[in-house]
Amino acid sequence: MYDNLVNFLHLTGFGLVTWQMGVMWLVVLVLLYLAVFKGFEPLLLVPIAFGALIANLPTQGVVNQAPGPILAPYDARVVTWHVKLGDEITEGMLLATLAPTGSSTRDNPELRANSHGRMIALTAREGAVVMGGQQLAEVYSHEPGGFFYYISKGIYWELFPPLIFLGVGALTDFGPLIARPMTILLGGAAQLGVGVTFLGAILLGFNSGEAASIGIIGGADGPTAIFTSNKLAPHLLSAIAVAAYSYMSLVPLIQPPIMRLLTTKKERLIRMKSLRPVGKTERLLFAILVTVVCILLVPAASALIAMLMLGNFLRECGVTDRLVKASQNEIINIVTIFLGTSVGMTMTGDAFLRAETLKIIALGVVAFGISTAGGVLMAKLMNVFLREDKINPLIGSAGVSAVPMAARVSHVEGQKADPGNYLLMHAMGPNVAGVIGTAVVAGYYIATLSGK
Amino acid sequence: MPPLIHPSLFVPPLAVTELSKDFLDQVAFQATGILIVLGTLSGIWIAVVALGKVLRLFSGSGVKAPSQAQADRAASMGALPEATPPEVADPRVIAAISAAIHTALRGRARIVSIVPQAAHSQVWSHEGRRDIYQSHRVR
Repeated sequence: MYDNLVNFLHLTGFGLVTWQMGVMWLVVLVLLYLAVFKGFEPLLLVPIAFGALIANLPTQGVVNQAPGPILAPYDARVVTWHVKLGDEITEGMLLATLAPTGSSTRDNPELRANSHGRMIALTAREGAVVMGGQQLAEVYSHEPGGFFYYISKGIYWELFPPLIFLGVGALTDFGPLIARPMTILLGGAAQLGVGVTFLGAILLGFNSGEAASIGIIGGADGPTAIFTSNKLAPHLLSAIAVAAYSYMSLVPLIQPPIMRLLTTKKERLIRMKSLRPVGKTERLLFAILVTVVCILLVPAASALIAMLMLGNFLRECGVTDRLVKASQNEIINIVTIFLGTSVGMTMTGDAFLRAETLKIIALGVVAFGISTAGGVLMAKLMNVFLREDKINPLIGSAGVSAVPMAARVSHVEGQKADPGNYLLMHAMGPNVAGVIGTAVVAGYYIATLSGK
Repeated sequence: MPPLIHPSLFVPPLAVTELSKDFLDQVAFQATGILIVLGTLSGIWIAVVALGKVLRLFSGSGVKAPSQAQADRAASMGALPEATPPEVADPRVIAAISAAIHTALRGRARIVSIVPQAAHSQVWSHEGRRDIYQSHRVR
């Protein structure tokens, strides 16, 4: 009986718990506290936090890779193989030592097994130089991969962010933007934080792709941040996604002090004229126009822009009610659960508890702040040229694309100055312009930095 | 007289020059990105303004004008039924009746006719009284 008990204890997961897992449990508790008790973006933070909890437990059959080809995680030279043909391998076993040949010097030189089975092929010999994604070896087993191994493919195959954009498009009213199209520039100016943070990240030692992915946090658009990071810096995905969503949830705390600092009382009191009604034809043509213009100019952002505008076209055309409801509810909700948990799954202790994570979190808040300031300052600049119907600069901050929270913050700040001033619909113009602006910036980065 | 600060002090060492050059390249890269974003969005702005003008040119405004049939229907819904007696033609009475219908039927309805009750009829007052009595019924 004693032996049976000891054998059983050896089969439990207690012996596999590491100090990194313990720290990540605390991080999970903080995220769950913010989501559940403080109400900060609970729809996203709860799945992310729960995914992180699962990722930091010694699970079986949840995240393990399906047996099959083992791919090079980055451009590298194979230094040594620690296994040979026919060996039985288990999860976590050291397979090979690699020497990174790419621009990033932070790649882990240890290649460890993420599945179990028998090694049936060693494609890359010792000393061979391989590109990221190239096959190194092959493992065979009759057992499939874990549940979240397949679900996470939605991120790596870039399925989830465009599907989220479909739902966002179906939920978004572009009417305020069409009624006063000049406010679209506020959405462009609010991308200033993306550029400045890119430069800050370069100074802190990140390469261009990593810096671009970190800068996109300033766009306050989670799916776009994930989309960009997955293409340019997949190893930073978890830290970037967590920073982006955390700061989006903190928009009501981050933005108001900056807005008040950059505006005078007189400017905050500006009342804007009522928006003209926008017809159905105009709305439909707008969706087509944005699709064509943005994809022609920045083809790399096609997936995001096309799905955003498809969702919006479905909404505005009035003859696809069932599809709109599916996009606004079932699709976006299901994808949000899978996206959140998959992002959380990337938050393993060894990947997350690094100095880079702290840098990314610090750079993220800088990006948010500068983007807010960029929108407000652009509104003030536009007022210099406007003789009548001036813009309340408070709506400039809504140019960061956290829809509709940033617009709500503009409205609330406006009402603090003048309780009778209703800025919400005016702020929705720059707010939805920010979504387009962030997608265009992401497309620019992906087009110019992919493969570098 | 020699300069107080030697000009060579303004010339950065080679490594710093290289770093600065790289960094300036990155600044130019970002400036290009911002220009592309603002250019794209400005293009959309101009196109939306042009689109709005074209649509207004064809229909008189950006919003599609209601068709004659829709206008007739709206007028008939808003108008009083033909058989409305003058004593209930007061808009306030019509509004009260409309509100009562909406509350009772929970949907859209059209008032076809309004027939005033005879002065001696106490049907509604009886109904009200019955309702009140029901609420006080001893069980």
